[in-house]
Amino acid sequence: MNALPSRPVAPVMTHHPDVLALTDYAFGSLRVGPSLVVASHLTFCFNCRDRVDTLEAWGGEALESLPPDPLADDALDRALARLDALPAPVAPPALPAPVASPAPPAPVASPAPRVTGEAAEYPAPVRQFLSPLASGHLPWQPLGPGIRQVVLVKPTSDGSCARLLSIRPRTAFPRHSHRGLEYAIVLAGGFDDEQGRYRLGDVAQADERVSHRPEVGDEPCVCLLATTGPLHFSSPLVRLYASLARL
Amino acid sequence: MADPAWSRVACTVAFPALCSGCLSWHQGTARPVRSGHGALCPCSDARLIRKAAPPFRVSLSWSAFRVPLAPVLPAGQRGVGGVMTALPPAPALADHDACIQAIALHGDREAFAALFRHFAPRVKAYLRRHGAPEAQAEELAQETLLAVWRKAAQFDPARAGASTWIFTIARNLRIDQMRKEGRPALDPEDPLLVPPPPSGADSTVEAHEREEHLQKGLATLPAEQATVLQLAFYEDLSHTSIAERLNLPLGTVKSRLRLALAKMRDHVSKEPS
Repeated sequence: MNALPSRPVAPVMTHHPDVLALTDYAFGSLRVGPSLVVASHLTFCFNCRDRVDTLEAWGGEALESLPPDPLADDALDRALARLDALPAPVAPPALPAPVASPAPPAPVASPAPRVTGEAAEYPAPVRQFLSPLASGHLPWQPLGPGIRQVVLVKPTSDGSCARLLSIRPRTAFPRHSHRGLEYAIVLAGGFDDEQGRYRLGDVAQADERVSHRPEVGDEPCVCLLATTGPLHFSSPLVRLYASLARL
Repeated sequence: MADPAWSRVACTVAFPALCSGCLSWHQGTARPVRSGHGALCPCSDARLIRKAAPPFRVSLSWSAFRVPLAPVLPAGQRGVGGVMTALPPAPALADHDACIQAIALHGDREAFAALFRHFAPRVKAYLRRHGAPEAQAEELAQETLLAVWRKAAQFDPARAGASTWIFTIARNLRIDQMRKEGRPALDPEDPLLVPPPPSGADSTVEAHEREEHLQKGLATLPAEQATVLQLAFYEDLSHTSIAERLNLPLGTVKSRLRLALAKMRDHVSKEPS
């Protein structure tokens, strides 16, 4: 029905975080694990970057519309006094130009920790959580037949956590349902489940109503899995195993 | 789209316009609405909302969206249809953008004081609503404005307006305060970043337009949806806590949050009757 002239197509994600997740992310209310998934998705998806920009603009407007809560009388004076201790926001043009050596370019204010090796394949938000763990090879731990993990955010008492999963080709993650929300983003390869096909950058969201069995195709798959509650495996044997592995 | 000939007619959107369906900005080729008043998003078929302009700000009645299209060309000459002309530019907002730029350019303390007077009490109010104790909110409001001073050179008015930028700083400071694990954030310098397509449909929008547009959207939410949004946003309540606070089922809270966003889209995507 749509016979518009086609426009250039950038790699298009087919599965995005839902608008609630984006809203919570933009408003700073999304938990750390899901935020990690959303921030990684933004690396790949310019459309969602736009959406988050829009939602942040909404936040800015809301800030403007708040009734002001007056600060202490001397607040501005104290702030101005503190400014004196800060460097000028920009280097003022060097007045008597030290004619000689053209200074080497100033190092960027906060050079990100340099991540090399395997970690460099992952988007910055993930690298940020990996860098204290490793450079070079990641500390993968076996989790089951064909499945390895690196825990990025340790499980809390309510079952909220984030981990990288590496799954061998033609391996299925055991069928499970969810006790909370699950956010997964594909960082390499891809998987299919009852909901669809997920490839690089795609986000799969599942809640209590969803039971699925993600299957990996011919390429190895790495995904980032964030959950806000424990997974519930259909098979009793897997359940026992998972409770040992704290999955 | 009963009429196949109609579906092949295209028009050009001459300015960035917000799509009411996918919440992103579009410019360039689109499909006109049958009535000739407006255009549809090429990806979601939802209506494109005009950028904020004077009539839009006065009233959200439908007349605001009746933008005459040039006569629609017959099918077969598609791709060169009507061109929506841009309305006169919006009047300047209070020039907080300029204040930030003055700080970046010559460390202007007057400009800083002006920003401080305007924003610090609002940032404090925002933090208080998130449950920060009085003293901490006051301190974080100070920190936020000091960060504005330090980071002024990074401010890009084409990307976000002053209030949005300051909001994100306050939000980030608040998260940093709360979390020990760190705050996952997009890195625009990430070598893996997939850039938007070079030109055309998804162009960056001017910040003011976006903000003015959203301001209006926010003001038109029904109270029950606005309440849920405010609790989720200002008070940082989880959906479950909101449900408890309002004595509502969780599903209702979630659907109201969804509706709060959908409402804004709905508002402008209905055909004028």
